[in-house]
Amino acid sequence: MSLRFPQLLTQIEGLGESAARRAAEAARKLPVALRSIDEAQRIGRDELTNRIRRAGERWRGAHPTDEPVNVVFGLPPHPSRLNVIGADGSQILPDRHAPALYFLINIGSILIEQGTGSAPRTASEAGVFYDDADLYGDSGDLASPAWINGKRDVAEMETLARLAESCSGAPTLALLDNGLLLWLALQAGDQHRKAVDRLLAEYLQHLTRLRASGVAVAGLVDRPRSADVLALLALVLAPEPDPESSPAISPYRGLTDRALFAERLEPGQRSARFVDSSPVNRDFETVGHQIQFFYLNTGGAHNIARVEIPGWVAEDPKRLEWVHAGIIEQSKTTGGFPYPLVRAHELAVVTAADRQAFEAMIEQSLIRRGLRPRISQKAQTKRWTGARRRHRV
Amino acid sequence: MVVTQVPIGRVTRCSTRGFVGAVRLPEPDIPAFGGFCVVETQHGQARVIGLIYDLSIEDDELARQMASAGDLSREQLADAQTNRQVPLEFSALTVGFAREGTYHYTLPPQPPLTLAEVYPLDVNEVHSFTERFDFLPLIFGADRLPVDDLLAAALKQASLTYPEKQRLPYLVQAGRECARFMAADLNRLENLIRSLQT
Amino acid sequence: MTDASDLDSYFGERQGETPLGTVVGGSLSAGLRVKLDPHLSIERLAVGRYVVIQGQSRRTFFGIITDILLDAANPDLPRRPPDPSDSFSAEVYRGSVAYGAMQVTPMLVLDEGAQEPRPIKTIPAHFSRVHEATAADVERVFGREDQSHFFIGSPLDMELVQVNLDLGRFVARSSGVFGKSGTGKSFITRTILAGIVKSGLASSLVFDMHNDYGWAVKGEGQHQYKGLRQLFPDGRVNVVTLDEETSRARGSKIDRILKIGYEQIEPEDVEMLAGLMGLSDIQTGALYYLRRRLGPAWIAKLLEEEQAGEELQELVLSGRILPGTLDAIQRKFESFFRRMGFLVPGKGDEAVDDIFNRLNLGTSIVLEFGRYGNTLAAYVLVANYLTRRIHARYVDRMNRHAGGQADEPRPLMIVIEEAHKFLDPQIAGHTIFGNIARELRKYNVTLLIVDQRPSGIDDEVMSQIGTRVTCLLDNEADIRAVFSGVSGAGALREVLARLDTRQQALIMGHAVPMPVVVRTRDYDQSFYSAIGVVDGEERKARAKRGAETLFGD
Repeated sequence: MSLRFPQLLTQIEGLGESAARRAAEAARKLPVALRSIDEAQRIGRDELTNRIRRAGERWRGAHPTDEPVNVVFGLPPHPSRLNVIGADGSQILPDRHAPALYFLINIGSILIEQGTGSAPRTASEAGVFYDDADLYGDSGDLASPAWINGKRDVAEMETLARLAESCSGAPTLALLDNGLLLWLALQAGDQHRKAVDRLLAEYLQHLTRLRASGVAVAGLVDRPRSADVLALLALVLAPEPDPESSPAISPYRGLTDRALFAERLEPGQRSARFVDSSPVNRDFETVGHQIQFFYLNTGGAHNIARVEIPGWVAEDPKRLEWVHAGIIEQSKTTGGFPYPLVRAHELAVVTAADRQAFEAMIEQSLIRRGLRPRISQKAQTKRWTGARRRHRV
Repeated sequence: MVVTQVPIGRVTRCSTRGFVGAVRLPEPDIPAFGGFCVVETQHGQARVIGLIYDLSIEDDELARQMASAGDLSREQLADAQTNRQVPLEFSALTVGFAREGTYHYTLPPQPPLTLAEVYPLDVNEVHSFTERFDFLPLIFGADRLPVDDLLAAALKQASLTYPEKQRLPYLVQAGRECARFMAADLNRLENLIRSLQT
Repeated sequence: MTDASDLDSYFGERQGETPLGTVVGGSLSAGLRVKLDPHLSIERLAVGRYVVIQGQSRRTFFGIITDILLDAANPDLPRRPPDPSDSFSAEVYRGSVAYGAMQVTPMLVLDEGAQEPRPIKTIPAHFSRVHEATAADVERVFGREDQSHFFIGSPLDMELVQVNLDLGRFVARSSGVFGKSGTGKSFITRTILAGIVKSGLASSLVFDMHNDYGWAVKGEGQHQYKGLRQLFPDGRVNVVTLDEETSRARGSKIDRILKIGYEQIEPEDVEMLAGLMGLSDIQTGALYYLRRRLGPAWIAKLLEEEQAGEELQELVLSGRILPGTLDAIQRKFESFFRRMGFLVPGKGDEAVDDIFNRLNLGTSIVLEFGRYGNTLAAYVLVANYLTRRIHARYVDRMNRHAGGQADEPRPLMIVIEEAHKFLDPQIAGHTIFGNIARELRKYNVTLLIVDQRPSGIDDEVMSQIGTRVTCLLDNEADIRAVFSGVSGAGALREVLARLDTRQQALIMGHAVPMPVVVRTRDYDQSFYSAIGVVDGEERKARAKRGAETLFGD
């Protein structure tokens, strides 16, 4: 045991104290926020838009849409037949200490033909990347975890598009265990812009395929920590924020949208739609995929999810109904998270044992080619010191 | 070894006396208690023959959650029963090994290696391996195992490799061999005989 | 649920190739404990059968099954047997927790490469395999039939194997044939006698109480069997009769009639009859006095056929004998001697010398008692009378032979029935038969005693019996008597007690390498042919063929 707990005791106490203080503070602020959401509606969409503009380029928050910001939508009827597709991915990142340099992406997917009673179609599709072009890209640096995550996101979207195109005859809902905005594009600096742009273009292209196939698509963020709507509500309290002051200094610091909507939404209800203000959404908007979001109580007391949808779903009442009713229906048995995403995750996940098995096979393959796999001393050391169970009979 | 069968898993930990394997399999392919399995050792020079004495399904939160939800859709039920792979750990007791075409009813010189593939023992091999009852001592020697149930399951499986008419005589002979070990405990023996018959 | 016939057919198939079991314990004195192979049905075993045990040192041991038992590895099992309807459980228990065992008495050992088995001096090692003896194994033990080895019967369940008596050894010491009445003693005895006559190894003198040996023997029902005289029509067997009338009536060929003159009878001859005649010790003692005083005609005088009134009167008056004693003797003599037609007044003839000569020439003699056979006293008298005198001549001849003055007399075997009458412990010490049994072959005379009550025979005499041929006995005392002086006999008792009532006998002792239960050979046409008899019909047919060959067409 290398953590020396006695030394840490004071800090642990402090940490607990501070968390308790923040929680108390947030509880105090919550009623204010709840009141201001109605105030926001009274101010009106145009005035809110003005205040947003006046807040400047760096302001980040939720733009109101044609739906009144304080409105709550009840659960629409579920179609008698609905295809629900889920996709999720996982990866093995390249490891300099491993016997060979590679990375692996595994996509799990499921297609449920709700209403038919037949067993869903499931798949796990893995890809191994070991070429220099994949590993190093244009820059010559080893592929970063962020970039590999991005590649995985693209693969997930590609899987959804492919499965959606295979469906016909019934309404189809494609679900992603993630926001729809490509996270890599949100994070990326300028160094690898070109590579990132290539991935983004691919991603958007798959979204376009989805739109063309007539399906509804939604990305689900479980336990969201965003405060976009609260940022909008802050403008209700302070009509003229100082554009120079940091956005972090919000009157609702410590609160989340989730806490807010947990108070407002009954199970099955959703909030109004909003538009995400991040810059990358402009890229999406350019090709007709402006991303909107709403909060949804997926069941249970405080189970608030953030659901992201492209504009072409948001503005098609039918597809919006499929998203709303479909997610609620699929979350019934799984405690508030859609079943297809639970299963897609299960099909995608690469366990430690799987990884060990995979690497053993790589070693065998190397040996067959006369290469002596050398596990780095560091990895070997980890193996020795890692917890091992002894087999007993 | 010519592999025509699907492996039932890979060894995750082992000792000379037995090995544990893990696998995720759809329900119909799950190995059975008392089943014979085989795994290579010493770089394929020998094959360790094991008898599966324990199967444990690892913790599966989804199944637990769904079971408590109660209101499963037909599609979800079908999914759980045909698609979902059950995370499984099986434990096998070493009952002998094969080397150069000969069976040895003792512990192998080396245990199988981690991640070696475990296969079900082919029916013909089950037959020839169990023609002699010399594997019984290794089973009787394993304490803390459900020895009697394991014996009954293994012997019944072995008897099924015989033509219908020879099964009963095989089981009688097997019962006698077991009786030699159990003569001191008639209750145990009676139970074993009962399980052999059912 | 178990189909018993399935199991039977399965285990039945393997029966032949598996050993009976393995040796798990025992001792040389108490015999070996053999745990039976579980595949073997215990019910197929039988006491008295032979087994072969493969020792660890390449020795082969021969033994005999002497007991069969059921045992259990767990002492609780008898208290809680499997459910009677559960044949599967029963089948599992049988041969595992519950098993059969047998007691085997080892008898002989055959060293590797040796031809002749030797008596056993050690036992096979633990876990030696025990097999049922094959015909070849048993044949090797009992040898082949030849001049001195006579086929007496077959071991149980081995009809093709011959058990051959070593006749040389059989006649070298006294032997016995025992068995309760109706078990075929006289058939076996006659068979053996035929063998001895054929071999020429000894002459026999048969005191034939019930006309069982000489001529036209009656068997069960109306069937008649050939007597020895018929088997050997060439003179090797003579019939001497005490009762010419009866013998002639039976159509018996008679070679001589035996009459005994009163004057030839000595008190010693009468003394043997004391019990039968009801003579007290005093009366018996008086006989010797009377003989001395009355001279050779003492019997005639006592019977008052000769004038002896005065002499007798004198004896009484002299006080040497009580009048009551004399009266009693006279009365008893009167009732006995008058009834015995073969006892004749006067000096008698040279019958004893004649019989001795015939015997010494190699002729066997069957002494037929005719109707006197029903009178035990007649039998005892004559047997005693002849034996004493012939034995005396043998002793004399042997002594002279030792001095180089005579040829060695031909070995003689005297056959007596109801032997316990001659050899009971009260009198065996001082009768001629007791002497013969004890002196072994010193004077070339041995006994073959035929008896149904061996317990009545003096132990010392029994212990001298070299070869014992025993049919079924069921009296404990008799069984004990038969085994007296035989080592490891206890084990064989079970065998003996379980013989069939007919044609089965346990043979042990000198003349066989190891104890053997035989089904004695049939006394029938094939036996006659084996002995060399050519039947009347057959002889005619042969003669005819011979004539045809001679004269042609």
